[in-house]
Amino acid sequence: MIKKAYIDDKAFEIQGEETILQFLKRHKGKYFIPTLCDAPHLKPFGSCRLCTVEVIFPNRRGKHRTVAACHTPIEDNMVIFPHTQMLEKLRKNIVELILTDHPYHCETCASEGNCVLQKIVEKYQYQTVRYPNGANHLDASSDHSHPYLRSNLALCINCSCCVRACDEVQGQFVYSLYGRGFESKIIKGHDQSFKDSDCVACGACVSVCPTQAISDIFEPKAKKANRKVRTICAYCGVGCNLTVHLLDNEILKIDAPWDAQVNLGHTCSKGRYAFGYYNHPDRLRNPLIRKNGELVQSTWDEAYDFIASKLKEIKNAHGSDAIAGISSARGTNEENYLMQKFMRAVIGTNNIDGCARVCHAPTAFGMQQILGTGAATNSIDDIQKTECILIVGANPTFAHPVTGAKLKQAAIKGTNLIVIDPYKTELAEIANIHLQLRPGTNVAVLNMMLYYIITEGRVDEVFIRTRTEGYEEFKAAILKIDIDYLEKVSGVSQELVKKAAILYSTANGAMSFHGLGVTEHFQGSFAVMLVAQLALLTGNYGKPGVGVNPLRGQNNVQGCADMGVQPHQGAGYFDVTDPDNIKKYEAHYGVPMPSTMGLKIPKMLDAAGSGALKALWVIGEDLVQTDPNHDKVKRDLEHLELLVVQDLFLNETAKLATVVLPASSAFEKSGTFTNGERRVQRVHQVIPPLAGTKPDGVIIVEMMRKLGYLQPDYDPITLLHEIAKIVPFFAGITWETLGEEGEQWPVALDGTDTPILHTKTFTRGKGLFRYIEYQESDEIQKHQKQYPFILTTVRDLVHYNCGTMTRRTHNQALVSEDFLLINPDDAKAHNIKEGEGVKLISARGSIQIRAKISDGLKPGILRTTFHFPDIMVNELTSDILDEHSGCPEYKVTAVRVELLSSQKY
Amino acid sequence: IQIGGPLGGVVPINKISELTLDFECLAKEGFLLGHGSFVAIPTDFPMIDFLDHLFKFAKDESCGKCVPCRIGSQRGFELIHTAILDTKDKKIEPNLFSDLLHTLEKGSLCGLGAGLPLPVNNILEYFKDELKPYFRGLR
Repeated sequence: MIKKAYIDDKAFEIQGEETILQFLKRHKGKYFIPTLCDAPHLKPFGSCRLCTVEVIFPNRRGKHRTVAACHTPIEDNMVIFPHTQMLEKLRKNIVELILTDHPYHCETCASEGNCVLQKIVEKYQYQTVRYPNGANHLDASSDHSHPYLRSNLALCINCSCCVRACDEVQGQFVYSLYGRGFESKIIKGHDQSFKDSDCVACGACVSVCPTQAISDIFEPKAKKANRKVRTICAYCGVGCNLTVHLLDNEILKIDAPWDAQVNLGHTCSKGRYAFGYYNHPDRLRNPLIRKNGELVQSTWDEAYDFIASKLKEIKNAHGSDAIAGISSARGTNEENYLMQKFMRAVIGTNNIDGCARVCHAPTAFGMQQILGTGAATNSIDDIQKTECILIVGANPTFAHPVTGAKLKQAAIKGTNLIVIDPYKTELAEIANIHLQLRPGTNVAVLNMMLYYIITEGRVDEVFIRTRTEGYEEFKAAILKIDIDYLEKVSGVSQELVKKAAILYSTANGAMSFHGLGVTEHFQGSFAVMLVAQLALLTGNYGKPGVGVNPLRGQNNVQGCADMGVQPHQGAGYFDVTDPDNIKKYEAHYGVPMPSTMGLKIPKMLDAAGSGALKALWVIGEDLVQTDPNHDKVKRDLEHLELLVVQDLFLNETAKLATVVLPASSAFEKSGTFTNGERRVQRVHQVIPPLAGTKPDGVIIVEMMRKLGYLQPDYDPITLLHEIAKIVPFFAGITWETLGEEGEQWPVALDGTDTPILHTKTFTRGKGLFRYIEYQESDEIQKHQKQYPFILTTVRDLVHYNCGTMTRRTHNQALVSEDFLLINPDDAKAHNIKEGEGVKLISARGSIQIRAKISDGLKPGILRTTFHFPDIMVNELTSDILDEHSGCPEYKVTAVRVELLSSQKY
Repeated sequence: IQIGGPLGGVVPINKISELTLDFECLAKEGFLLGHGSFVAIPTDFPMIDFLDHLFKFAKDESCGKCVPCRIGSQRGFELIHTAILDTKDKKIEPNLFSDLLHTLEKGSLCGLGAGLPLPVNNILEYFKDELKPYFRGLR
């Protein structure tokens, strides 16, 4: 039965459980009823009282009441009078009261034109405020302590929107309403400044503040946007939708569309604020060619001619396999598709790889082995539907902040949370169970969990029987594990693991998330396989609120592999050594295809060092700063005859290049990104390419043509047609039908997309059980005696990877160096005090870094970020790789600590 | 007599004999039974001071969540308080005062702000003559 309610004398349909305000706004528009304390996605609050309406309650014998629309549920046959004379008078008088404690000079106010209160004041045409001057808060001080956020509480109307956004969206609880009655006021932390509070600069408060009492530096009164463009964030793999506000071609500010399914108007400090790199003076604006040892400015034609002749020369002398390319997971799908096509169809080699190699390659490989598809099985939105969240080796509130906030909200609201991590992350602190293992022992702890799920009789037998294979052998092997030994090596008690196993396996729907703490290990692929098997054992696939969900690092790292940026699989994940696939690709590209497997990034570097590889083309990746064993990487690259680096900035790798090509940023081009939940979303060009730069896709196309391949112009619309013909799960994707929200692959020809994978069968048929034995990394076995600490490298909230972009924004003022975190006992034993410089030494090299004392780590474990090239943490890391995917073991480095005298640092 | 609590109705002594002690009767006459307490106000106690007390009570007890009560109770207190201190130049504007009471009654989130107008209106009704010096043209 359709429920309806009346607005004055006209009936309108009621949808689900909504409030009177939602009902009125849905039918009559956003501004039908004035409100000051109502904000998208925040719970009803009822403080401003402007939405008060007169109502007849049919179910309460026709009772006539005056109620606030925002917190009164609509009822069937209710009659609402939204604009009676009494109400208009009431609203006018309420606003007048607000104005008695508000600077009443809109025209001179800094937030003029950007203030909800101002709009309402204009509507009610106030002449004067009738009340005599009384007590007020007009002398409240303003806060300029933060690089981005500002507060001017003289403008505050105590609506609590900031408090609620911080609590309900981000979960940071920075704001409070302090005191009571007329004396009450908004405070941050313990009445601190933004800088000293726990603020994470997500800007959720700014996005809901009606008056700009809380604002940021991107609200200048002098400049008003004259256009807005919706696009996708170019930082992490969450794939937040952004609205870029522009004055002509100047980016004024960034916020997020409230209706975007991925982020519902939320963003993090990187997405919302760290865009200043786009026109930074450091942006490369000319190609550079190395002449007599110096990089000198050149024209595009010169650079193309130079590269083309060099590539031809190398190909003729040494063959196609002496050339390799590294594409960028920061680029679009179309660009990645072109780069692998360039290498395969134009150069003639499978030597093409991407940065997934150094992050989630073990996920792609491991999940393919167990399930058949190396991608997230479910959607982020499933966090709302799950009963138990398992996070392994990931710090989402820092590295994937918008998803992290959703996880935090779920945990706060009672969803069970298990965290497996060597560090007491923000989520570990609020988890039901935190398994604080020694870095490098994921396989040990996961085996213990699998063991207890079986011994406690919590397996899903029907699921195992109907949807999996290899269970009996697996079970026999796992029951034989030496649980005492695993407890000893991992440092996690059997009892606690058993509790976690029970919590995970008894949930009616458990969902796992994992990050680089799982993959960047000697046993990285194996650990991924075990995470996937935890879900197999408990039937957690193919429905809402379950599955295995890798938190992908780069904005388009999923798409990068989907498009064939891998040495063993081409576009659509077809094995490039299989003759049938080769024929398919040859027919598609119209040229002969290479048939031998290409080199993975670490092998490319080895081959460069040994002289087998002569030319390397790198797009948007700083190998020198981010690949392990920095000195070796540098030496290897120096052996190359041709190193082409295509980037926004002269990064550490570009400094070694033969040719540097200035690329355009994601704001300067169109295309598609695929986020961590397989959602292909449209990236819209916001501004034209910075003068002198070209989008990666344009550069590749021009180079392909230069080398004789007739590739049409870079255009996402036509490229998506080309991709849909070869990538089966893109079959139904077109630029037009992707729409604003994008689509989750596989997308069938009829346009149906897939929020949940493996609903009926797994991509490989049956899910595979396979026992995996824990093995200690060589790094520890060889070096433990001399280098007794284990260092693990991680990421900070405000910086992104090697920091080329975020270091060129005000985020640099928030965090300006890498720090070493050390346990208090270790610090004491080594006489290290907070903020002192220490020397870290590994078997490869040494660095100097400032120490911070942290009880989030167990003794013997150290932790640092790697965002700053002047510290160059990767001097320390090793060449040990995950044997299946070639992913380096960044998370386990044996080191020694020495105190530096203050003069030295 | 103030019957029914800190924001209970204020009943003039000559009306007491007409009332019976039940919800219906007091409500019908524009008062409140509340929790049934009686506070006797001496006849020589200025009712403007009692108004002052009522607004002070409301503003001190206001939690501050909703606009009408948070700001309204403060402004009402200021209007009365300044009128007491300066009966010549700071008289209360009756229209403004009536708008304030209406805003408190219809707009407040809870019974504190919404309940304040009842005793205030009782006093305005039954002690008008005494209050005239404090209001501009009270009719």
